[in-house]
Amino acid sequence: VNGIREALDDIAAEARRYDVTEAAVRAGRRRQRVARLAPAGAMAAVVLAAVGIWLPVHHGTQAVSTGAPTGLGADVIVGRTLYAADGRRIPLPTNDPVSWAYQVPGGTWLVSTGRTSATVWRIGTDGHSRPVLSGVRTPQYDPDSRHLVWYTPRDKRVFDGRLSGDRVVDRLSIREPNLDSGDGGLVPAAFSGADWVVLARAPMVVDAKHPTGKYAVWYPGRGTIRDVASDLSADPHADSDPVPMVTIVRGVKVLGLGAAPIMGDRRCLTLAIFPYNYPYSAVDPRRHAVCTTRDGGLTATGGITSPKGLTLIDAGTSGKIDVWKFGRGGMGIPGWAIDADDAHGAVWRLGKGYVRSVGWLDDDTVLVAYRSTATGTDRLYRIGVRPSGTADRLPLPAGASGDVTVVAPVTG
Amino acid sequence: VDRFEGFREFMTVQGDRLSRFAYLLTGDHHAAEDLLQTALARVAARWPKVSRYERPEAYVRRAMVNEHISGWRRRRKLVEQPVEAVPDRYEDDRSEDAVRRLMLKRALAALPPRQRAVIVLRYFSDLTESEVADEMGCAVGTVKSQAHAALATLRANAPHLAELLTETAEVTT
Repeated sequence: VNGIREALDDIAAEARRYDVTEAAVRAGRRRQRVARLAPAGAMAAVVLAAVGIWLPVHHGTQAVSTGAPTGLGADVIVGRTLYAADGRRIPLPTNDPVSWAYQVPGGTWLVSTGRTSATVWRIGTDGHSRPVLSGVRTPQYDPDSRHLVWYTPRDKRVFDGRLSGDRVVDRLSIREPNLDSGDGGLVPAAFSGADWVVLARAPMVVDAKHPTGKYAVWYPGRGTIRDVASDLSADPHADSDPVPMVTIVRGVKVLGLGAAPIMGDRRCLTLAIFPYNYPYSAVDPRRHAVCTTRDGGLTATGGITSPKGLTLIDAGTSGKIDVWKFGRGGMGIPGWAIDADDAHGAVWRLGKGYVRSVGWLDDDTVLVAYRSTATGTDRLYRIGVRPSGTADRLPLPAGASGDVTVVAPVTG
Repeated sequence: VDRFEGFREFMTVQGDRLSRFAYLLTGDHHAAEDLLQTALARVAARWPKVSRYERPEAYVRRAMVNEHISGWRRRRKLVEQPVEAVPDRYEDDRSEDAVRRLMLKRALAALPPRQRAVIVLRYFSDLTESEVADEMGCAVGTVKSQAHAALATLRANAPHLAELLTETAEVTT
């Protein structure tokens, strides 16, 4: 009897202290409010239904209003409203925080909200919104292939599917590979769309002695998966097998995965990536960060490609736009860099804070949503990417307040 | 006074233990965190009442077990297209204890959630069969049969642990 007890104790010792008390308190308060308001709400619903009026539902149609063009050149989400550049204002169907947003061909938008449990919404120009995915973790979207990948923690599966209208079709899934049973799930950290998905484990405790994180590459179309952690070397010169090198965003290869120091309230994995067309001898290592936050969300800061193929990627202190300079030891993770031969030299320092999202306005200009760590508020900057570029702070749309997300434009 | 202060104090004392319980039920950090948060949200909303119970932690455990079992039922309905069964891997330099722990984790993962809950309540939370039955809202006989089936499955899936499990089975049944 003691044997199994001891073995269970050993396994239980792997558990962390899951700090969910305050989240539970908030949820508890919401439940109490709902319980108090439910009778009145039910009665109101009956009355409204009786007179032919139906209450708006989350995945219903939100009222679209029109204001003056924002002058930003790209769509942005501020708080829970999507401000189209042309002045249309579309309320989002949820109060959950926005993780990312894309324009989708046809004039609609794809928006991911929530962190621990995420929902991906398709939002139409008429304000009609419909959940495409819900109750998933770390959904990611590739605008070129229109593929989505996501993870469902309860059954430990990773999914790949293609967006078709309001639905995700051609779904394939695989059980999370058991590379190491100790620490969290292998969630999709980056993917090419259609071809491969990098599954990375997000460690809550970074072990400097074992900096190589666990990760694998899943090839949904082939039905295969490969543990590449042991195959890769941090030294690009030592890499003799080209197979594990995969394109992480257009124009970039990934060569390895490591654990970065804990930065602020984030714990990061970093994918070491290199410009695709650089000779190895000239490679300046850059980093693609995959960060977990205290609430369990995971942010993969991906590359954003301009209309003509320039790639905006994360960078360390060698970045051309150095906007994230906090943390221990002066290490900057992640900044953003313009991966273009003619974009060298300029460094913009926007103050102490970090980039929340970016979007290309054209091949010369990028719109950056930047959060000041001093004030906790978001700002918008328009940054020229040419050597003589400038960084201009732009006003938010009239009447807007809250977290700012730049909507990535259609590139596919 | 914030009506949730008592709940916070309860979690200060019980947080570690409940976290471990959630991890043993799920075998995964993310799932454990989700499970604990879901259960605690219910508990927090009813805290004034729950705090008057003789053992509030038992109520939380029960909420977790119920959520885990009902979540498993929901997941079974998902239609999926598995691509490939991925073999588990072990590193060669694991110590004997580590190997034993990994084997038991794998074997636990293969148990249906109700059987897994019985094992965890019985041998981790150290409850008697009648206490387990009380927390799971079932008969003592059900607990016995579930434990028997669970141990048989564990023995089949982890033959190297048979000695440990056989000894346990004799006491349980």
